[in-house]
Amino acid sequence: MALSLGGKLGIRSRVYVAGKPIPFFWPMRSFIHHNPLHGLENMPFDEALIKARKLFHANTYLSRSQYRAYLEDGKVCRDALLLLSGQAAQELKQDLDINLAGLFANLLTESVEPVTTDKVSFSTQAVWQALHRQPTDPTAIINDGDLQEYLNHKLSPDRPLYEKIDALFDLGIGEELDELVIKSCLDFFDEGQSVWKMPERKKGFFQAWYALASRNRWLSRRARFIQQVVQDPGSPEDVIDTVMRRMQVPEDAWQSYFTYELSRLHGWVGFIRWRENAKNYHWSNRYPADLVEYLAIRLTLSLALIEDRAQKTGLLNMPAINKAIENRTAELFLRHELYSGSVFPPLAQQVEAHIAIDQQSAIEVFCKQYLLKKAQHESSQCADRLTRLMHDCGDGEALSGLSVEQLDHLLHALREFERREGQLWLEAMECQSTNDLLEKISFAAVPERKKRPFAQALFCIDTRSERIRRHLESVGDYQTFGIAGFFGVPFSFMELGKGSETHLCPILLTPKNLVLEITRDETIMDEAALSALEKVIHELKESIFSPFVTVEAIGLLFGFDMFGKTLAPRTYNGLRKHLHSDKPITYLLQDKLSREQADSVVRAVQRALIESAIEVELGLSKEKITDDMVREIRECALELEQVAPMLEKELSMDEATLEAFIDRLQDDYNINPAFARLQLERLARIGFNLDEQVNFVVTALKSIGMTGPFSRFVLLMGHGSRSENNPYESALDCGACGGNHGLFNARVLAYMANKPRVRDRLQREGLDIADDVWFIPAMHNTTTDDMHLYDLELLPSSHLIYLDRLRNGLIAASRLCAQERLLTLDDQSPQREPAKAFIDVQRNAMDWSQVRPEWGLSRNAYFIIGRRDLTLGKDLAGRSFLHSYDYRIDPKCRLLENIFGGPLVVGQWINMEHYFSTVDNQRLGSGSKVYHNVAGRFGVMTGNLSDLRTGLPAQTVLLRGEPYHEPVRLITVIEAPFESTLKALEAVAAVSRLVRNQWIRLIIIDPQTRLIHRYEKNEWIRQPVSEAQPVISSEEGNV
Amino acid sequence: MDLTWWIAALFLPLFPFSAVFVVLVRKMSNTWLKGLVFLLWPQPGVWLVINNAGIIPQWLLYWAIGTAILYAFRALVLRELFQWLSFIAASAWSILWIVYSGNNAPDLMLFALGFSLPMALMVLIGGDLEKRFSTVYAGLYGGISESHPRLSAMFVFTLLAVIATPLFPGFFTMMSSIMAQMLVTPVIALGLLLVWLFWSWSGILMLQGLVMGPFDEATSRKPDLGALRTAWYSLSLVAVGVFGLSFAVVF
Repeated sequence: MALSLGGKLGIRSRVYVAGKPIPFFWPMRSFIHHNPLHGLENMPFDEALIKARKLFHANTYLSRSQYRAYLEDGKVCRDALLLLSGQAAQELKQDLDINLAGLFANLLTESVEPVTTDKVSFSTQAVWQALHRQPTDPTAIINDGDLQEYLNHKLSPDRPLYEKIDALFDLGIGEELDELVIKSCLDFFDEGQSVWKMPERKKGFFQAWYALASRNRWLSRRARFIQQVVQDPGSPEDVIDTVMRRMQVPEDAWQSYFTYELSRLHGWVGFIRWRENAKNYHWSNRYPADLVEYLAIRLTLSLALIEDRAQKTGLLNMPAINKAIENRTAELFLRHELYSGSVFPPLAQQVEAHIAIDQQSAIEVFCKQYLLKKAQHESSQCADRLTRLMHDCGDGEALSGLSVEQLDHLLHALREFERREGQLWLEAMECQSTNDLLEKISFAAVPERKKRPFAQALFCIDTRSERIRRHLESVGDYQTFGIAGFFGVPFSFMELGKGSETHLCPILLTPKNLVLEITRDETIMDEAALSALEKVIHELKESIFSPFVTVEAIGLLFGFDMFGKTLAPRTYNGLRKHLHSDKPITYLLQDKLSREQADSVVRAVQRALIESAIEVELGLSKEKITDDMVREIRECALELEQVAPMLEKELSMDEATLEAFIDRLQDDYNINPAFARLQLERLARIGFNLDEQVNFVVTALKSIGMTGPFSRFVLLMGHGSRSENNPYESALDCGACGGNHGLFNARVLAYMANKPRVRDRLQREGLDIADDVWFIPAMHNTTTDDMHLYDLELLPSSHLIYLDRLRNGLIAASRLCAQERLLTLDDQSPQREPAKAFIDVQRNAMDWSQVRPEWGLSRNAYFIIGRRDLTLGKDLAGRSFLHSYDYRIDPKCRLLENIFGGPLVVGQWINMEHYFSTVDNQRLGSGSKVYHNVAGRFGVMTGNLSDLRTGLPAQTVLLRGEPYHEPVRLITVIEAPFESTLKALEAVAAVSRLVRNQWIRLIIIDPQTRLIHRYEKNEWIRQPVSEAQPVISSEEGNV
Repeated sequence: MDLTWWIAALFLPLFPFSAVFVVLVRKMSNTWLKGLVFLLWPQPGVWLVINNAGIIPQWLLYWAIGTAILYAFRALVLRELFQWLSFIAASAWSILWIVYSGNNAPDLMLFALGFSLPMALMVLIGGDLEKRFSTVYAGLYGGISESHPRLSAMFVFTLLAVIATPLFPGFFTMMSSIMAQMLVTPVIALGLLLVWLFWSWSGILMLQGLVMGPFDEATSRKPDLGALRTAWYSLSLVAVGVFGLSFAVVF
């Protein structure tokens, strides 16, 4: 029965809320670093991690052994760890006369395996008996009632029905369902990778799937339910309602059921979530899809598979499972043990044999034996570990004197502590990281410069800029600043030869202005021909039959390509580059058009179209088409005039034919008033007006405290990366530019800042920029450390004489940076000479077999907002985002609010993405790159069929299987007065919430009071700058 | 058919006599003893068959191939290594009847040894696995390829030898049998191919369940094979390979 509108909205809202914890997945063309647990940021960090563990079946902290390795390497603060253990002991102590703090500390630093387990088989009494070398009393193991409770807990109603069946029968329904859903997603969401497209995609995901399913014999044979859906599909909401009722899932569990269902393929679901919200996304407009449709398909297929297997299981709905748990407790328990991987290993074969025999009485007898043996084994294991632990702590005798009740308290305390231990390790590690940073920060006052530096350079806040900035500052008279890589100018960009817009700004912003890249050259046509050739070859490779022929015909060419790329990547790619003509010199259309100019552009376009239409539709040759004729037709089409009889005469046609031609112009050629208005609106987006330009320049310079004196050269250094055969290339680009290169933003700001009219207005704003100051856009390639200057044709001739010195400085810095960075990429070889290192990193970028062209933002840990002098000359090992900021020119902290709202949030996303990709690379990262295949041109899968891989690959965060990235939350240091910083923080609710919920570790250095304020567990703790030592206790100096 | 054949059917197992061997393996707990049984079990059967020197009736060949198919097929669903190995052994040794009928009587002992050697080696490696993880049951614990590279490598290569992949003796035995039967009794040749397919399939399932899969913290705490033991296993494997190549020279 079809649902009412209210019913449909009810389903929609439930699906919407259920999907909230699933993070967005952006297409990889512009990889966006994001927090995989973004949907849980409204919860405190530790609580969110518990929820995520359940939702994504993922680890959310590193293992104890890994943290212990960090402890031995001095990366975890031992004092903090002991202090935190002591605090935990105080909380969990109860009436025990045992040194819990020592016990906990010993557990963390000496024990390899956890003492307590989450096992079901035994009670504390069994452990007590094991401790006293007594045989396990059969009554000490759990009974049928407990088993039922255990099973009901494990198979809770919000868990998908097929998952429960799989947990009991190991039928692989979940895996098969995932495969079917992934195939449907691949078909529908394809963005040009497949040669044969899915039909009827314009109708939407569900309808397109239905159209295929109704012709798919395999599917319709599968189960009655599919046949019913195929006969009467209804709306996706109807289908969801029907399936849920048929499975008899309690209605109050629907939402959490949906969440678990959606989290199973969270990559695909994240992509659909992002896509349905991306209003300007071409593919989404063309082929719409939403989560409700996805869920309807998934649920339909799941029910079909469940029905298909019902003969084996006899389980079709939730009550059937509950009834089975009640009537066949022992059997279901043993099944669950075997198929969920918690079976007692030595008895696994016997469990399997008993299940196969299927005799309830025999199973019940065996189950009791099984439980007893398992309880004996596990309780003695627990007792041994506990004895060892207590003995190591010198409390061995106390253990034997404990009563069962006391032992229960002790085990409870240990269990709770082991549950929390990840968080403790993390906090102690962050404490060490904070101490390391504070040791490097210089609090001394810096004398004013006597003369302006030779050159100033604005780099992105990206952690990779820290190294190159440090080296540039070391090789000469250079001053550097850190600014968000889009230079504070958000815009939409249409690159030369491309038909779509790219947003060059943080994903949090929606740009209003459009910038076009144009050229005077005509080489773009040659480039188009080459692109067409490449496309043909690509399609030959992709289609089903052509490879048979192409391999014979042009396979050898590919062979040369393969050998060249593999054996001599630098030389070969150098030669190959000659096949492509250089990009022509381009200009950016970035000044706003006046109303008259816009009108004129629209008029010109319309005139060209009309001329073409007259030629094509009416067959008139060019010489017969007069300007007046075109003007009159245009005005008729725009309904400014009636059709004049003279026009009919000129065109030699009757009134009806002419009117039909005008109608065609309006409908097919879009020459009508509405479209003309739309064109004007679109043209109005192009460029920036003078006020905007002045505002952007002022804000950019002031936000980093750059108020003068200005050097002769001010470099605006965008950054990006280039590597071969790397679907994750854009993950290495600038996050502040939406995962794109930052060059165009640099060019736009340089153009604005060099403009005389803007300079005049800047003077009025208090920014006195001398006439000889020239802003040069530049590009830092983070894979090769190469820095290249752009738009030099605009450089005043007076500056050319200094250009060599500038270039030499940049090259020297590049080489030194490459030398330092190469050691992290190849830690087996000795340090190379700077020039050699520079060549080697270039090879890395061109080597198509290189899975790690650079480390990207791995090991990021800090975000410093303040003057460069805080860390000038200090080696931060590329671990810190550096945002320049001078509180003295921002008394109201408006600029600080901007930094909080944009760069800091982006930094936190990057940090969290690295954190979670490291702690569980399989579930929250994307696993090894080696097995990745591009899916639909927007994502990657592992192998030929998998969930879309989200997060970062193993090669970005792991080194030889061990974490290279050291996962800590972003330690943010702000140099500004405490009170005003707090106000700025409160003004940006999103960041304030992140700080309160401990997703960011905040430290404020107040330069006026010379106090350091640290936010710890809902309290501000302060200490003088001279005593920058670990402070974990909340007892001292609370504000 | 005299009594000798019936006794031989116990050692070159034909269903249901094969059950004796399967049950015996299940009951045994000592690894070395189990390895010895895998190595020597078919030899009395071979000796009896050779010394009986009779002509094997055609129906017995069908019985043998039926047994081989049955055990190979059943092996597909087994997850416990030793049980799986006993089924593969029953399947492989029953094929020796077909080998014998293909005029390979003088070398039958070598053929039997060619099947048994990798199996005996697998028992020892299985023992090493059992010592570390309490049981050798596919899919129960995380993949050991990352945590125990030596043990995994030995396991993989020995398993390849057991399922008669090229270079190992089983491969040449299977090839020669199929070639011999191809023209005489194509049905049996097809049956042999089917058996081979089942062995490979079930072997891969065993590999997937034991070696592949995500890294498991608990599993990784157990030590890997020592260098000496690895060297010993490697040499044994090389010896089995050389033994296999000697088959190739003979054929």
